[in-house]
Amino acid sequence: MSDAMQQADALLNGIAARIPMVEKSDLNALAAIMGDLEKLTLLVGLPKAFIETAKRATMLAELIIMGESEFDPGIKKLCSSIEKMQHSLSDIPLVNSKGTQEIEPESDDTKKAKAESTKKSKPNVSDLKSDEVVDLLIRFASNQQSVLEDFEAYILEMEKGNPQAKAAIKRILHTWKGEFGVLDLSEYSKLIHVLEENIENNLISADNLFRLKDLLTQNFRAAANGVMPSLNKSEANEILFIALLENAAPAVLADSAPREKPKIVATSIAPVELAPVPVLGNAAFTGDPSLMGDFVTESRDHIRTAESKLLELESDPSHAENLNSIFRAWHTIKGVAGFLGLKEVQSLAHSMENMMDMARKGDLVLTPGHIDTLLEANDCLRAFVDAIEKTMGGAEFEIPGGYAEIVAKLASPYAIAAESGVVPTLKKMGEILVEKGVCEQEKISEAVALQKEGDTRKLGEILIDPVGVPARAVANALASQNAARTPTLVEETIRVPINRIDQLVDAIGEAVIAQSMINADQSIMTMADQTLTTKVAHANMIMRQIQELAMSLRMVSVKATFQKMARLARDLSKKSGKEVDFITEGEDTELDKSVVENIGDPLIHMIRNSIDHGIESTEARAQTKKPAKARVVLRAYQKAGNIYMEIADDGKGLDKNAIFQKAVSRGLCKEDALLSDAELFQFIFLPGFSTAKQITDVSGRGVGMDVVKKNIEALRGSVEISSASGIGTTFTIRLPLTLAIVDGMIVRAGKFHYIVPTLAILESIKPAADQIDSVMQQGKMIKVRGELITLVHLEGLLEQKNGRKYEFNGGIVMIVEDMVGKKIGLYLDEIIGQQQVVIKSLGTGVGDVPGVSGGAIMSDGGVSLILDIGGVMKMANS
Amino acid sequence: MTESMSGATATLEKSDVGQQLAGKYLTFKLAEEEYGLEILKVQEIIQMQAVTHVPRTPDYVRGVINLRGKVIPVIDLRAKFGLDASEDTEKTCIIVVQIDHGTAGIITMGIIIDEVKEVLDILAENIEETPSFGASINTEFILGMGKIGTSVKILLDIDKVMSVKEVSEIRKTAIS
Repeated sequence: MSDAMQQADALLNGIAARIPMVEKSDLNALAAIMGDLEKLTLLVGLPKAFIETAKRATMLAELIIMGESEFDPGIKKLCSSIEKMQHSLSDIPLVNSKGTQEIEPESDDTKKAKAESTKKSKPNVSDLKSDEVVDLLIRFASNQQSVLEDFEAYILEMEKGNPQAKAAIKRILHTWKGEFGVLDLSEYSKLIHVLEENIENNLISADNLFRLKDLLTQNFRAAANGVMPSLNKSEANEILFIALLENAAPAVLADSAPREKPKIVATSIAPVELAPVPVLGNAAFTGDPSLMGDFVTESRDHIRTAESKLLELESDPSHAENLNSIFRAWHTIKGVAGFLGLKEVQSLAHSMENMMDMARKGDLVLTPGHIDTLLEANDCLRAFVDAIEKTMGGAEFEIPGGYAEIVAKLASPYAIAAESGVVPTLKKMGEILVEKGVCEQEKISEAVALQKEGDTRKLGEILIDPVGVPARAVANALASQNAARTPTLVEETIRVPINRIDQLVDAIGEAVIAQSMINADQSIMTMADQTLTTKVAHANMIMRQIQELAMSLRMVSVKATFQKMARLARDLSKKSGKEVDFITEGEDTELDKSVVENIGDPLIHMIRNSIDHGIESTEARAQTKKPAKARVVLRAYQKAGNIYMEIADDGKGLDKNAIFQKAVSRGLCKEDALLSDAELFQFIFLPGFSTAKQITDVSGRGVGMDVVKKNIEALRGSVEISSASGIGTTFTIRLPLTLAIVDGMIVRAGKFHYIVPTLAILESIKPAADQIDSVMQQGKMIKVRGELITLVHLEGLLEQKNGRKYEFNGGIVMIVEDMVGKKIGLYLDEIIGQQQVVIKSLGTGVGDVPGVSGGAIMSDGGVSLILDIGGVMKMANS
Repeated sequence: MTESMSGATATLEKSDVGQQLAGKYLTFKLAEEEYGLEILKVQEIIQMQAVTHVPRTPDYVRGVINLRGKVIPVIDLRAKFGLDASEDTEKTCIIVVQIDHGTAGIITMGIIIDEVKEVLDILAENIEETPSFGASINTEFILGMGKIGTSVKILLDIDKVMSVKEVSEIRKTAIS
């Protein structure tokens, strides 16, 4: 049997198994079926008629999804075409597949005969282990990751009583059963079969399904090497045993489940169950190092997700989607840790998961105290992951400090609850309406009373009908309530090594240059052939699209960074005793990965400054009649090819007077200087400019600001401040979309062209003869509005041909400044234009060239050198 | 007797050098002399193109070029060998070579030569050790001499010719 036929067979079986169970509303399942049908059309080496049928079926499926075809007759038709395809597949010589057996049962004898008649004939499924089957297994196992994820999501949904989720679980189980049957993994298919039988009677708890999921996750991973680990009898029994007995007698289980303690019912949490696993000094890891590496990266993702969701839970502790996603995150860590033999991690994650589970089920309402504890626990988990990463580098495994305390703390969730105060909850419909002023408290009470008297309708409906609240207002309130509940959609992603993306981006860059060289080609430009012109234009358009896509590949959202800041702000506000409402906006704004990685530090400094120094103490705020709770907004947005990040607080603002005095006393400006706010505020970026001791009113603002400025400028960005006394301060960071591109001026000095980064350029002037002065017959200076600036001849500086005299005559002077604000005038011959260029290294062979930061490939295919202003200045001074 | 013994050792040494060096070479012309480059070092041969001058580099560094999106340095082999400079002709090309430079890894570089000739399979018996020219001539970067018919090809050790360390040292002296 050919590869394609096997695939077709497997796909058809999958579809045939799913189709009878698909429901009209279940668009995902329909889409999956359509996807599979489409895959059939793409298989190579199958009869044309088969492919045609598959194509028609795909179209039909699409019509059903779009609602353009009636559901029931459409599905019937789809079923019959699938049957037809299965038949036609069996008509192809040498085929004897499982799918066809279901329709046309063959006797064992014929099967044997066929199997013997040719070795190539596969599946009489039981005499397997041929390469093809191994191949099939690998392909199957490696595709299961997303199915497992769906499975997990459905389990969580099912627990909430969603019947569709249950149906989905059944479908997945059924497909697995079929697949395991095909792969001759009878133990697995038996296990799944039993589960499938019993799930209908609600005999299988979510925990057992999770157990199954964990088990399959491990084994599918192992199966990627070609051998599915044989199902451990005790594991299987455990799942089944617990599955069938759990509901009946949970108490019995304490002794009978040796591997993993059974689920603890929230009300009977006993500290014993959660007691920390004895701490091993040098835990010997049984896991394979590559899995360990995966574990580290994946766990970090999960920990981050959990952290952000925990923070969201603070304002809405019963948000089901958040509770679930935290639960999932920790559950996954627990599962993998268990698999890798990381006992401490497993037990910690287990305790965390337990508390989450109670919250999820409504047995426990999370208070800020709980969230604090869980955040601590999450940090501990992170410390574990860090420690594990270190062991991969050869270090000894160390149990992070505070581990035992946290596990003990987690064991008594109700004790934590007692410690903390008020619990914010999701706003009720009535509250929203009263808050918006559309309806009085009495009306709400009236409606609530009616509801209590036996009106079974929803509060909103009662409010509209007998009570008489405008329907529009109720609808709006409902919408805002739902908005607070709306689950966040999880985008599907794949992990790709970064160097592969870099290579792709490089290659596309080359293609773009090649394309522009074609466009600039004389014969293309003067061409009379209309069709060729259209083709070239078409290719151009596609190339532009590809280029945009390529750029977006390296883009990541600032979400993770913003989450970190939210955590920082939370901790800072607790520590400083100031109440701060930290709001993040535009978390989905995307930036080049390298920029995002380096923006964290400056943001930390600025947020720390805002909360520590910008925002007044609660008492001071009360005096100025500001709301007690201060606002700090971290906002990101894109404008005109740049990314902007803003940190805005509603604190006391910068003290302009104090800054001015300080600047004067340090000789940075004259006493009578007229400075714009922007100029004035730039002073606080100077190293050591202001500290709390020196200017009490500014109270430390500006500490660390020089670091901020340097970091941001290293990312080729800039910072600006606007501030109003008593109202607040806003820092605006401007960043380039990517580090790989620089905006530059192309200039000519002598024979050669160079690129000067636009960010460094202050101004360009055509100097009058009397503007240039000679100093001691050697150095040159240029006078610009009363300021004397060193002037260098760019060509002379770079080329340094001895004995040649370079004239300062007839050219242009470009005033540039380096990162610390030192200015220099570059004398050059001509400014040619402005362009964005991609920075390339000059290659190891040339090494570091003074004054040159890299090369850029121009549209003619040639290379231009990008000047490094700092380096040029150093050369000029030496 | 002794004489014949020493003679035998000599041939043995000679064939040793030959054994090590035998193989395919890309031959090219530079100022009327013919040179050979181990074929495994050669990545490709490209047409002469506009080279961007890089300031403050030694004279033999002609500059950098764009090799399909990658910027690579280009060396003028005439200048490197101290031969007279000549105008580029139609036949002038750039051989892109991969140089193994120990810790610096593999470096891609272009070398400008007058004319590419052919790829030759040079047998062990046709390879001789580099004769000594006395102290005045540095033969460190010559692997050996390949005899093809009446002509002699100078087989280059391109790793040594383009030693990055040397390049950077020279640059340092140029700057200071």
